[in-house]
This record gives sequence, structure tokens and C-alpha cells, in this order.
Amino acid sequence: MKRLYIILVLLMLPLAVCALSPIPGTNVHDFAGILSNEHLLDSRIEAMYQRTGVEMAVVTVPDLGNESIEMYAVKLFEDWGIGKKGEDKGLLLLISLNPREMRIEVGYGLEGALPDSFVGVNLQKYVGPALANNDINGLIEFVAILEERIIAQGDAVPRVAGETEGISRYETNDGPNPLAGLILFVIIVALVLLDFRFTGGMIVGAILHSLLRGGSYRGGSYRGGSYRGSSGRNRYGGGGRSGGGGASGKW
Amino acid sequence: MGGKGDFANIMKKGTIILLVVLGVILLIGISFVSSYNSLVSLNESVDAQWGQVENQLQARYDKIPNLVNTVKGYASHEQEVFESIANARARLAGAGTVEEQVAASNQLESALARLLVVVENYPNLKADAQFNQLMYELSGTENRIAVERMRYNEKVQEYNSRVKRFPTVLIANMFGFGPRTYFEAAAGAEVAPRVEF
Repeated sequence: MKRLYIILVLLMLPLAVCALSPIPGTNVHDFAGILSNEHLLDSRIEAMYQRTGVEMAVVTVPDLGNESIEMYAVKLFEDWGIGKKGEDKGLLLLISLNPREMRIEVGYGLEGALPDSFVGVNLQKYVGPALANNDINGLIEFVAILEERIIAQGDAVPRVAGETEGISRYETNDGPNPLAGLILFVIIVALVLLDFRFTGGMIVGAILHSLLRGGSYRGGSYRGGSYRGSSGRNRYGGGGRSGGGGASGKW
Repeated sequence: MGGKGDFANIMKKGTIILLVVLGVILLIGISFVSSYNSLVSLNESVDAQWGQVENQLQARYDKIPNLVNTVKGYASHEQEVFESIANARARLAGAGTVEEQVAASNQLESALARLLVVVENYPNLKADAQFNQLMYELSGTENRIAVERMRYNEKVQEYNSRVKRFPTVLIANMFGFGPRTYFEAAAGAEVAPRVEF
């Protein structure tokens, strides 16, 4: 029975482990510690979210770990799941301290409203100087310009007043039917018990062995929403994706 | 009395063996069906992701004439670069299979990289607003190609390792699921070109 218990615990381990988790309750994730007065930027982004439904994360990192800022941004975007799945209306402003690089990554759903040249020019104009002078206002201005453009292009869907925060933002409809899942679970548990009763768990052991061996290459994948169950109010995790749209620069 | 007990014991044993055999058959059946289904859906996701790659290759293809014309306005005598771009572009248009498309797109990528080197010699061109806009669009497209290529290769890896692994390999052979081709990037092209102003 002890082996059975261990196997059940193993089954409950999450598949993906993410390297960087969003800080709950904010849109500004200053892991490199280079921003000041970030609450002003956070409330500006929150205001944009209320008016347009666009989720945005500002993330600073000390380094990029041997990756290009473009690849780092696209993976982080998908890992955090910024924006809702299918809509993909999310934005990620990624700032690296060493090297001093910056990137605005645009979700699939905003590529029409925010062309690369538009975000690129404004990234250079506002974000570069703001970082060099440690002036949060430049970043706030950048958010305002993106918001203005999103509204002008008709891509804004204002939040409905009174909508429950923290539930609506993470809800996705891609889960399997719970009843079917329950029936399958009961059948599997019954089979596992039978196996342990009569063969000492040989069949389950063999299946798990092949599953675990097979699952290993999936371990490092960046899948959105894997931390959705953790406590605190995470702002993202809707499963939004980007495809390399946006622009990069140095600061 | 004893005879009846033996009979009950035999019956009980028989039932147990029958249950175990049925359980094993059920498990094998389930794993066969789910292996086949997962192969089908993985194969389809490779196709879908290749479609994303093709979209971005097409976007690059469409952007090139505009870019080349703008550069020609400032650097008309760099004929060699323009020709290599035109050749690679024509080759991409005629490419049918995935292998041909990959080869042609890598050729186009290196031709574009040479164009970016040439551009460095023309400060007036780099100051041109329209050129800047085109360069942002081009580097954005190159980056999108890199991203979709990475995702395509991830899907191919997932599919191929499934096809080659026991016991799925049995089902793969039975239904003719062969390994898929990776999109190998040209050397040094893993990082998209970037505009520096």
C-alpha cells in the first residue's frame, strides 16, 4: 500500500515548473530592481486594462541567460499566458539590465493594431530615455500611447463594471468534462487496485515507468497557466500567446 | 463439505484470473487507441505549425520588393546584393516541398543579412524614415519566422520522438507514420537581424 501511495503522489506532481513567476497583485515585475515608483506604472497599466481589456506585464531581469531578448520575451509571454487564450491581447515590456536591452512583445491579437514600426519607434522615443534617466514617467507615457492606438484601431473591449476580478481573468473553457474525468478516474483507480491486489502492481509499475521516461523531454516546456492554482492574485495566466511581433532596442 | 469448498475456491480463482486477463486486455486496448489518436493529433499539430511558418515566410516575401526599392534609391550600384535577393525570392516562390522551402528561405535570409551589412555604408539611407519603418517591419518578420520555426521544431521533436519510441513505434509503423523534417536554420541565423539606430 505504501507503493500505491507514492505512485498517487507522483501522479499529482505538476508537469511543468516555471523559472520566473509573476509577482501577485501587480503588473510591474521588477526582478532586476531598476525601477522606482513602479506603483504609478502599475496603476496606469491597470487603467488601460479596464478601458481596453488588454493585459500588460512590465518585467525587468538582471540578465537573459544566454538567450536573445526576442526568444526570452516570447517564451516568458507564453509561460505567463498574458492575455486570454484565443484572444491573445497581451503586451510584455521586457527590460534586461545586462545586456542593457529592451523589447516590447505584442500578442497575436494586437499585431493588427500595433505594427512593429509603431511600437519600435515609440520604444526608442519613450522607453529608452526613461530607463537611462530612471524616470518612470517615460514608461507611463509609453503605455498611454499604446492604449490610445489600441482604442483608435477599435481593438479595445472595456471591462464591464462589477465583473468579478480574479475569477474572470483566469477562467478558460478548455478543460475536459468533469463527469467524464471522474468516471475515468474511478475506472483507473479500480484497475490500479486490482493490479496491486493480484500482481503486486507490476502492470501499473510498467506503465508508469514508460510514461515517466517518455515525459522527461516535456519537462522544460514553457506552458501558460501552470501556476494558476497558487495563492495570491496573479494578473495573468489566461493562456495568451505572442509570435515574435513587436520591437527591440538598446538603452 | 470439503469438495464444495474446493469447488468454490476454484471458482474464485477462475474469476480472479479472468478479471486480471480482462484488465490487461483493456489496458492494452486503451493504450493502443490512445497512442494512435495522439499520433494523429501530433501529426496534425505539426502541419498546423508549418502553416504558421509558411504565413511568415509569405509575409517576408511580400515585404522584400518595397525594401529593395527603398535601398536602391540610395545604393543603386549594389547590384550583386539585389540580384542575390531576387534569385532567392524567385526560388522560394517555386519551392514546393518543405525541404525546398527551407533551403530557399535560408538562402533568402543570408541575402538579406548581406543587404543589412551594405546598408551600414549609407548613413543617409539609415536616416530615411520610410527605410526605418521598413526595417522594423523586416526585423519583426524575421523574428516571427524564428519564433514559428522554433515552435515548429518543438512540435516535430515531440512527434518524432513519439514515433520512434516503444510501444508507439509499432502503431506508427502499422499506420505509416514516418518522422517529419526539421526546419534547420541557416548558420548564424538563430538570432533575427535587428535595427540599430
